[in-house]
Amino acid sequence: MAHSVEPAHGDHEYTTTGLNHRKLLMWVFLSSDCLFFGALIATYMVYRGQSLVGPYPDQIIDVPITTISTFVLLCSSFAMVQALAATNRNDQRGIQLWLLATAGLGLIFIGFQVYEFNLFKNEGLTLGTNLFGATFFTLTGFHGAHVTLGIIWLLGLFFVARKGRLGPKTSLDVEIAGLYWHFVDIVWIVIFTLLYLVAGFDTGPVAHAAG
Amino acid sequence: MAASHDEQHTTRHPSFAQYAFIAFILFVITIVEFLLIWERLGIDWESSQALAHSKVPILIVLSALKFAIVIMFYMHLKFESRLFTWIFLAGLGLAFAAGIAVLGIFASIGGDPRSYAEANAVPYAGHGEEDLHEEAPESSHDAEPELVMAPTDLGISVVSDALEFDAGSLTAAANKGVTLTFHNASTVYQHNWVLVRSGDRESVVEDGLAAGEGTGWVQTDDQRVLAQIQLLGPGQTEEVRFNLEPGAYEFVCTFPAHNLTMFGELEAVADE
Repeated sequence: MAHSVEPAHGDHEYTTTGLNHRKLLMWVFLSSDCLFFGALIATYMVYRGQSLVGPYPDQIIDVPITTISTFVLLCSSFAMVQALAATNRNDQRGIQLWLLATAGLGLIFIGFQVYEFNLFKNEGLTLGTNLFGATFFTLTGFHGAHVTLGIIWLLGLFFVARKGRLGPKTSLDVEIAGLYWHFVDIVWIVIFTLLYLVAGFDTGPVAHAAG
Repeated sequence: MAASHDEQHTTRHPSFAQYAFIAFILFVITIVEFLLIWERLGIDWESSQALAHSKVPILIVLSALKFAIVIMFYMHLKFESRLFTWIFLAGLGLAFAAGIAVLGIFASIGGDPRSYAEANAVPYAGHGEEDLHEEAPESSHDAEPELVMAPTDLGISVVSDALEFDAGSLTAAANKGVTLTFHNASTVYQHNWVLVRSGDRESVVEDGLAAGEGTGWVQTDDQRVLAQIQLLGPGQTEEVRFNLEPGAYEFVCTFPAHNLTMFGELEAVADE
C-alpha cells in the first residue's frame, strides 16, 4: 500500500510518467531557461549595430581571450561528466576531485569575465553607455550569474561528498547539477558564437548602414 | 540486482575514453571556429560574395553541432526518455521562434529600431498633467489649443552626423517660461545651442569664433545671448529654462563652420 508513495530505498520511484520527477523538473526548467536566454539574445541581435556612441564591439571585444575562457568552460563540462561517472562507480576520491575541478574551472571562467567586464568599464563601456553595452552586459551578466549559481551548487555537493554521502544511490543529485552545468555551457556556446565570433567585429553605425 | 543496475548504467553511458573523445571533438570545433575568424590567419571573408554570405552560417552550424553534442552525450539526452527530448525541444524551439519573430519585426521596419522609435515618438505629456486636468472639460475648444498652453516644452536635436538641427523653426509661448531640451544625436561632433534676438546671430557667432574654444565658442558674458546650452559631446542631452518676451529670435550652433548650416528661428507668441 505504501509502496506507491514511498520511494523504497531510493531505488525506484513510481510516477505517472515512469520518469523521475526531479529530473523531469530540471528539464522543464532548462526548457524555460532557453526562453529566458532566447529573449536576451534576440534583444542583443535586434540592437546590434544600433549604438550611436562608442565604444563599439570591434574596439573592445577580445576574441582570443574569450576563446580561452570558452575552453575552460568546455573543460569544466568534461570534469562534470567525470564527477557523475565517479559517483556511479562509488569512487569517493574521484567524486570530490572532479566536483572540485568542475567548480574550479567555473571559477576561472568567472575570473575571465570579471577581467573582461573591468576592462570594458575602463574603456568606457558600461550598462548605460549605449545599446551595445546595455544588451551585452545584460546577456553575459545573466549568464555569469548562472555560472556563479552553478559553482555554489557544485561546492555544496563537494561538501556533501566529503561526508561520503554521494554514491550510486544518490547519483541523481550529481546528475541534476550536471544537467544545469552543461546547460550553462551550451548557452555559452551560443553566446560565444553570436556575440564574439559573429558580432565581435561590428563597427559603429556608419559601417552598419553601409553593410 | 544492484550490480545489474550498475552494469546497465555503465553500458548505457559512454566510457571515460569516449567522453574524452567527445571533449576532443568539442575542442577541435572551437579551435576551427576561432581560426576561421582570426585575422592573422588571413581568411578574407569579403573577397567574394559567396564567402561573405557563408561566414555566419558556417559559424552557426559549427556551434549548433557543439550544442547538440553536449546535449546528447554530456547531458545524455540520447539515452533518456523521449519525453525529456520533447520538453527541451519545445522550449528551445519556442525561444528560437520568438527570437526570429522579434528580429523579423525589426527587419520589416528596415532593421533600424532606433530611428523607427524616434520617428514614431509621441511627446511626453508628464509635465503638464495638472493642466491637462483643467483643460479636459474645455477640450471642445481645440480650435486653438496653443493659446491655452502654459510653459512650453521644446525639444531639439541634431540630425545624426549631418550638420543640421532637426527643426528649422520653433514656437513658444511668451512670458510663460520655456524649457528646451537639446540632444546631440551626432556620433562624432560637438554642438551647442545659442539663442539670440533675430538679427544678432551673425555677430554673436563672429565674436564667439574670436573668443575661441576655451569659452566654448561663445563670448563670455555676451549680453546678446539670451539662453544657451554649452558644447555637448556626441549623445549628450542638456536642458535649459528661460523666459521670452513676444518677438522673433534665432538659434545657432556657434562651433566653427557649424553655424553655416546649423541655425533656425524661434518665435515667442503672446497668449492673448
